[in-house]
Amino acid sequence: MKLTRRNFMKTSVAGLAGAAVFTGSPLKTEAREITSADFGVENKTYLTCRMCAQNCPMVAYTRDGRLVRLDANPNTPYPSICGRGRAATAALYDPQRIKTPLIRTGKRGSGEFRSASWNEALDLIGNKMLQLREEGEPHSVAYFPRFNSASLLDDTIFNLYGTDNLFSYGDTCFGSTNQLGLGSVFGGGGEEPRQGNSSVMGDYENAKLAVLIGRNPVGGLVAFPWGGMFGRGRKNGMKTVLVDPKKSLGVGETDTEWLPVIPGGDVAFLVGLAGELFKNKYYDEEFLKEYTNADMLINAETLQPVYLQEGDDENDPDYQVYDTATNSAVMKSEAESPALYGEYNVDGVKAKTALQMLIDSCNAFPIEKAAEKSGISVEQIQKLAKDLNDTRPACFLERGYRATRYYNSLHEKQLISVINGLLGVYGRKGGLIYGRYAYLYSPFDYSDSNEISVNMWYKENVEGFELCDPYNMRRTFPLAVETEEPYKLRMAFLNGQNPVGGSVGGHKMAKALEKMEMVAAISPFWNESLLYADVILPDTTFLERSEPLFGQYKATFPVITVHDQVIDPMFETRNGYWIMLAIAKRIFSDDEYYSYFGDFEAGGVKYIVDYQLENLELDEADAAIFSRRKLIEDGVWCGVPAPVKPMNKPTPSGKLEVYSLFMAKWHEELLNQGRENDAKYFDPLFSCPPTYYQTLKEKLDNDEFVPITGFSPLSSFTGAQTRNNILLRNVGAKLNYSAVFINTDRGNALGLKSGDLIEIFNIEEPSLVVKAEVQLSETVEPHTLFSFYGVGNGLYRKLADKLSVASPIGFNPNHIGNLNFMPVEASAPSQDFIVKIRRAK
Amino acid sequence: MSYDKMAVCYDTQSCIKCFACVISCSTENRMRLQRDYNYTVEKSMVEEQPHLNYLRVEVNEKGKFPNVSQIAAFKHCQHCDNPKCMEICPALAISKKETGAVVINQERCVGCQACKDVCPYDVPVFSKDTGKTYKCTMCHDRLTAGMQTACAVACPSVAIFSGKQEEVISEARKRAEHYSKVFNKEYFVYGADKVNDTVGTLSYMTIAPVENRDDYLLPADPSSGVAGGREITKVIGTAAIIGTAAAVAGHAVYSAVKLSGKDEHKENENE
Ligand code: SF4
Ligand code: SF4
Ligand code: SF4
Ligand code: SF4
Repeated sequence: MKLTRRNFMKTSVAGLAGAAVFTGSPLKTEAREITSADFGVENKTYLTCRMCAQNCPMVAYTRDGRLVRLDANPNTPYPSICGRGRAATAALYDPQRIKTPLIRTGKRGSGEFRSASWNEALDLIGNKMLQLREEGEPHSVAYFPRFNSASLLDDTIFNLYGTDNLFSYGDTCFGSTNQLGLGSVFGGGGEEPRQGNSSVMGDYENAKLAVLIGRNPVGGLVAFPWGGMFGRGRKNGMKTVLVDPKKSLGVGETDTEWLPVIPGGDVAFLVGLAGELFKNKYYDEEFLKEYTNADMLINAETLQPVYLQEGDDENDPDYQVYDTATNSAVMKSEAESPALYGEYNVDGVKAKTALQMLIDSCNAFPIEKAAEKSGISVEQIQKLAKDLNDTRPACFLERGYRATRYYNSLHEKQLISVINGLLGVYGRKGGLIYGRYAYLYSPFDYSDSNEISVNMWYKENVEGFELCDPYNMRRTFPLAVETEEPYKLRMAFLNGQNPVGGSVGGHKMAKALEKMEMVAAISPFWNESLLYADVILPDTTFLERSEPLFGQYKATFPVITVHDQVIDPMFETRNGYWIMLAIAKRIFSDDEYYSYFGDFEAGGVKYIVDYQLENLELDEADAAIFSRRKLIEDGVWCGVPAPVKPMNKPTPSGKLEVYSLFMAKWHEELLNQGRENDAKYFDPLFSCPPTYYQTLKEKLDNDEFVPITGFSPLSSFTGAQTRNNILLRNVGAKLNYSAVFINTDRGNALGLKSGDLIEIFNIEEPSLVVKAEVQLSETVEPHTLFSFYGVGNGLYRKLADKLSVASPIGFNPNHIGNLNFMPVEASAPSQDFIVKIRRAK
Repeated sequence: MSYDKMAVCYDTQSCIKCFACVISCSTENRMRLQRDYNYTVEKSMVEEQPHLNYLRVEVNEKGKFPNVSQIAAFKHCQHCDNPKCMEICPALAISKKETGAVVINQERCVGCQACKDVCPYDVPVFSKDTGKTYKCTMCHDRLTAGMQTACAVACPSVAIFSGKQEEVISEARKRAEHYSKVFNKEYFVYGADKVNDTVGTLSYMTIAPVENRDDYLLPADPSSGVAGGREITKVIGTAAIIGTAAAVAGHAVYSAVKLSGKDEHKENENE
């Protein structure tokens, strides 16, 4: 269905039934007076929320230059901002914000600083950068962006200055694991098929059953539009099944099932589930025939296709199948009735259909074993398989978020995508539907002549990094600093990123920062990494600055948002653009500066917005309804929802690959290189490679746990905008959200009770000891030590004075985790280690 | 002015426990301080003031792993049709408005906590800092201005909604019926029908599975806490005498009562 703007607004109102019906005035007779409740005449400003990274569309109301209210921008089908967004005022007016530029006085890590003038602080940074450039080593500057307040301009400045060393945070979250997990089934064009988090999304509103595995849409809340879609799904009667070591509130408190999985046992569970689907033929044969490569003939020895004809500009790819009409192996395009099952002899090669290969691989792993390895009972697995069959295609398995948890997470993501294919839910109402986007471009130049980046060098030269995503990786930084390969890194520049608190193995990040000749930082709030900075520049919060248009939403329709400044910057803070230009002035010659940034300096953010609008790229249907005026007046523009129909993706076979040829290729390649251990994680079949922690120990001791961390809707990442927020803490305290949660029986066995203080350490890093309060709960799987992410100050107790609202103790697994890497794709296995606990002295 | 009867409804089924409503209630109350009491926004937003969370969370856990139920119930004023709190308030600070909202007039409140003691739902909260008692106002100011309550407007998943009473009830019943069918068990709208003689019907209703009514703090037979509770006669005696003067000299009255009621208030100090 094509939706015009008017139709679209109609649907959105329908979607909102609850809210829309109830806004009528309660007045019986008199016309309503303007009352103090709505502050009379307000000034409205549209912007996007940055309390976490999701940019939910917001509207701010001001009176006399002060912020008086924040609400969701109502001009979308799912107006939503979450509690964190609503608590932004407490972050804005937080008296512990960084108010002036600061220069370090004590030793690194001590947290001792003095305030300085902008000129002094900027000169320090500018002079160092000039010096490095004059010495021919601009590439020795490592740039760490996040929560950026100078988007588009900032990378450009570093790139033009001469460094491509951009260490981004995606290795924990959306980087390789999630991209390749879906890409291996979906394709993505090129050698490394990558798909973003939002290339398919659960159609929650129409789903009958959602299996949440590796993701709790409410914990890691994306308010717009996921939160809205998920809640409407619940309202429509969607059932939820949560596969997680911790039962959580948000997925539904009643009429929901919790399958408490052993940490990292998700893969075993999925193999068991697939076995049940196969055994009972609980899958969609028609879908498999039409849209997937289930009928592809596979060489049972090599696991490679018997014959694959690659596609090109003119021809679609083609492959050999077994035609039951002629009882012969022919190309798919010529086959009348390709077999889905069976083993065949094709010119002396033992071949099976891809589906048969998958079925046989599950048969080798009985459901009892799956139950034992996953901690989820046989009955629960069987019931879920049946429920999926009863509801398909209006059901799906969520494929997770903050995806990289254990060594076997890539296989887990792949299996999830395969099972969704077996169920035939792709592109189906109530199943998984495709995202659509608006493409916005940057007006700034780029330089291609820089020295190779550390990450690219690792990818090209270091075993174990072949499939890394060099644009979303930061944990190579400490390696490069230690080995000085490919060259020495001399300066770190942290722009809103907190690598010490945000990446597993944070203590090694801190050590690497200590080795820098200079650490410069821009941030509105304190965090762990800033303790290691030499110069800190106080940034504005998102309410105190304008930003370019934003279009990267996790939505099924394209969204573009406006972000205007709400109030003047407080204290001596300055917005990121001002700061970046002030640095650019110091590190570029006048000629360079004006040729690169002259237009921007004259036009400001509006110059970027104009460029974005002139070069806006939309699908035809969207272009037909786009209106610049509407965008500006509403603060947001939403396009046409993606069509609900299965789409073929650019895979080697041209089909949705329930049998992943990408995995098969890497599996073979790794075996050929003698890397059996790595190859296990790239199996195109259903198998059960171990987590890292399982390779350390067969069985955990009484006092040992796996440190699982999950989001709470009251905290986000490691930023102090939520950590040091009194409005959020008032509520978080009711959930005891700064404690660590362990299973009641296991706690009792150790003589612990709720409220006791314990010490926690990684068995591989016993010298790093963190203190936390323990909370015993029946909602925790027994192997698990659960903590909410980004709540307490953890190992970095020096932060306690600077963030006095945040819990002075508490556990962030990143602080003490290992600096190890996912096999071959090298992202960050964030909770794949073992901790020991003991009563605190 | 004359107003229609209004209502609010919380739907436990579509709630995703994001707590946006809880935060929104808290910020709205801080905005009110700023609007009505010349309090600067810089101050109101960063002070703890836990009594301004009129919507409170109470988590309960039942059962043994892995068959465990975990529920975060919301505690807020139910806006009883027979508000026991209003009946007992010696300072006549509590009134039931035409919209159905039961509101404490903060100027008149003498902080005796009688309302807290008799409330069958244990709603009012006493603040040691201000010496007054607080509770959900059903966003009376917003409702009469034609806006939704601050909790309803915050909800990303249409789990709290407010509006004219008959509209709210009809939507709530529709939902409960739908859930009963889909989930094959009884859901009800607590407060849409008379709960019992003590409280009557409620203007702030809740949709929940009947079997979880206790977990969601929705007792079948709520009883007023007069008999239990602390010994309050003395306080009431004092307060009642000066109660009439409260409107004109709120602050002076409040100090006087605080002195005489000193001991009785102690047990609340940890709240
Ligand atoms: S999810 Fe919440 S915190 Fe994150 S951007 Fe949206 S409203 Fe803000
Ligand atoms: S719930 Fe308690 S405070 Fe609210 S109206 Fe009823 S008696 Fe009064
Ligand atoms: S009605 Fe208003 S005062 Fe009551 S809980 Fe909701 S937001 Fe708070
Ligand atoms: S805002 Fe809505 S979904 Fe979120 S906790 Fe409140 S009622 Fe539930």
